[in-house]
Amino acid sequence: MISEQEFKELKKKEKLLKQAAAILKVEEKDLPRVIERFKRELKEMEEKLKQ
Amino acid sequence: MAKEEILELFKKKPERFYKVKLFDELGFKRKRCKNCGKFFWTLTDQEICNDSTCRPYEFIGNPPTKRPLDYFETWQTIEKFFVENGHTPLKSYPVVCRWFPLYFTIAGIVDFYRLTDDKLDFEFPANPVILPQICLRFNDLANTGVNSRSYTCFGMVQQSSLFDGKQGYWKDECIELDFRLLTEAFGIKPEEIVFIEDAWIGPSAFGPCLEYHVQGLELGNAVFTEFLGTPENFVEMEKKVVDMGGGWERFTWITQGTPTSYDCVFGPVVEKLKKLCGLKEDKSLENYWKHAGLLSFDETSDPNAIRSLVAKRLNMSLEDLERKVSRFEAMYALADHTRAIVFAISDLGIPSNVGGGYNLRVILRRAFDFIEKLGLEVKVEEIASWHIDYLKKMFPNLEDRRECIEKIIKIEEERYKKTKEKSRRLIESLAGKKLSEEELIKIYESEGITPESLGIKVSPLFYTRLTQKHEKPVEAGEKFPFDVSALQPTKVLYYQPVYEFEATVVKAFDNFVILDQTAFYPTSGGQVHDTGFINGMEIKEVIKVGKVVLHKIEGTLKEGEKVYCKVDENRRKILRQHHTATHIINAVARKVLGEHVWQHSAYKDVDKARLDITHYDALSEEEVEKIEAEANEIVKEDLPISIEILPRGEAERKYGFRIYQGGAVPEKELRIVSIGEIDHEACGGLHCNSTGEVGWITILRTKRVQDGVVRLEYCSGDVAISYLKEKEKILSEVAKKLEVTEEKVPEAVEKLFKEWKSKRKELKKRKIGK
Repeated sequence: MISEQEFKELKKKEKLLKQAAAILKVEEKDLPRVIERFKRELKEMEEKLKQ
Repeated sequence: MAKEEILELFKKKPERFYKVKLFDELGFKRKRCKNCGKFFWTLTDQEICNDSTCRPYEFIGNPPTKRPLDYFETWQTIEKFFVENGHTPLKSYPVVCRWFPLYFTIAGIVDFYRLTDDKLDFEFPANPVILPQICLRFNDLANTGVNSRSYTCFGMVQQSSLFDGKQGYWKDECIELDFRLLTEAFGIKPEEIVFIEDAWIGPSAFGPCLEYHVQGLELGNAVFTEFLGTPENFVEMEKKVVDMGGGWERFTWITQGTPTSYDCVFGPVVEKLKKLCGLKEDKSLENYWKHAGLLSFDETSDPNAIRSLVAKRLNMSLEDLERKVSRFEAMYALADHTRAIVFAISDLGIPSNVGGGYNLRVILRRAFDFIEKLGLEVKVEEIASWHIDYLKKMFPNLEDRRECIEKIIKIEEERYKKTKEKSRRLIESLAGKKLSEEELIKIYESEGITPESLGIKVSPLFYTRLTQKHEKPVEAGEKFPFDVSALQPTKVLYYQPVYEFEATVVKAFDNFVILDQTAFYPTSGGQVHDTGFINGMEIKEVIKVGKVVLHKIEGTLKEGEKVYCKVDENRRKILRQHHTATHIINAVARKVLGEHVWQHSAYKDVDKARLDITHYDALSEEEVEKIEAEANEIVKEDLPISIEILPRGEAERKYGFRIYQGGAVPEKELRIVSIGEIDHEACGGLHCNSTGEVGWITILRTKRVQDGVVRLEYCSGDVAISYLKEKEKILSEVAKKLEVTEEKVPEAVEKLFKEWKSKRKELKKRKIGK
């Protein structure tokens, strides 16, 4: 069993992830992929706007 | 065999079934009522029995008792009499029935009903006993507020004795006591008392009964349960049961002689409602109330025909009569329904659209409709509060539950309003249309809209039919296709730390194997089965049928073969942790959310466990965090988990009915699992030895799965840590992608999302501009 401190640290991280996923209304496991997509689309839009 | 046929058999042998010593001693004569045909016993030459269908309520305005008694004085008088005559006084059991498969306590005798091996059994805490049992019953909904004596919530005077020839008493003593109660304690003249012969058929038991009536009012019914089984297949009971149920409200009423019983049993509640309704005593109705006993609607009666008959007797038109009494009836029913809700919520019932909560919602919505119909400036929770003020001196727990009762009523009112708003279009499209009762029931069941909301007047029996559909839990249907009843019970080893063992195959068929002993836990009580190997063959499933454990394996074995078995220890460890975590979460949810929380169902698997609890609302984030934090405090405290095998009655007395979180247990001895002092449950599952062994608990998610039921999903120990480490990994990956620290991830996601939206908007604008 991990220490209480370690457990609380993990819980804190779980909460951060939950909050982040809630912003984009996606499942937590999908967040890295969605972030990647948003970054790519943002870049593409910026380029289009520059043209 | 129907009740009528049993009654015929009993009636043929009145000496055996009905004649008691008192009748001989005082000279009671057996007669047949010239009006209804029932047999009755009387001291007079009367030719008509005292039933309300044969005789009006003659005591109205002229009570036959010594003096008027209020609701509490009535009980004190009854209790004093029975205590002086050797009875142990008990308190009312909860109205929400946890110890027998019924949603509510529908009669006093239900307090003592138990199941042993799925057969009816009785559990008496003392012998003989007397108690004031508050009951909830919906079969008289159509008559509540109407015939002056019917209620959905009523107090039953429960006089009971278990008779085995040596201890307790039987018919002679019971009827003598009841006769003396009426004559000595209440001062009713012996000539006014009539005993009517009848029969009673209950859940797998039956017997004759003698109802006692005075001046048109049945005050009690002494049931003598002496046969176990069905009328087609029965045995005489070794221990017979005296089950006398008296009407507490009716005793009060007969001492006061008020127009209806509702006028005298609710304390100040009816007076306050009358004022609000602007209802005054109407002399022209005096005679009506005396004949209201005829208004007893059931499936065989035509309410309109009965009302017309009463109107004719009073020389009134039906319309006139209905106009005059309908407001009284609505007001009385409103007082009754509110009191029912008060007792139900105080005993942890919750209105909903499932189980017992269904009928609570029906009567609560009726109460809201009555207020609207009467045009009152009062809320149901205010009326509830008046009831609590009046009743708290005898039922102090009502005061403790006041806040919760008012809160739940308010939430329900809001919900009803929203339902009506949401369904306004439906209401508009249906208004004025002729709808069948079946269609109206469907509309209520799917939309929660009462016929009154649609402006439709329904038969008084509408709500009786609606509530009858939801009176008791539906029995589990699926049965195991093989009969194993001839086999010896399997010796169980799974309550000991046994993970390897040898056994002999007792029976083998298809892929199933029955061993003489087993340490493989079968799926039961919401906990999934163990896995492992029997002679190297993988176990796919373990089930229990009666007292026999069956293992489904990949392969076949022969009967008589000796086998070596190995239980998957790690899976077992996780299941024990998840099962124990379920008890902890349940106890903590009760502490955080309120006493009304009760286990609705539970499931414990290896990847997670879930607990469905009764609660009136979805859980907030704060509530979830609090439950998790408190659950982990219990883990930290490393409380001992103890197991006791106790006789059922002793377990109930020691720990209360909370032990039945998983429902009624059909055993004479209960396995009580206690977590320190915080939780005690009758449970046959596998648990850790202390809360520390559970490991950290993490709540995965919560949701409202049904109206009035909230689901919590969680895991603990290594499973919880793996889950959290996975989340940590994802967070770290996201942080890297966003090039921020983990703490800044939500902020960075927000920023990215804003930028993305802004650029998209800009791009759209530009496109439009082109």
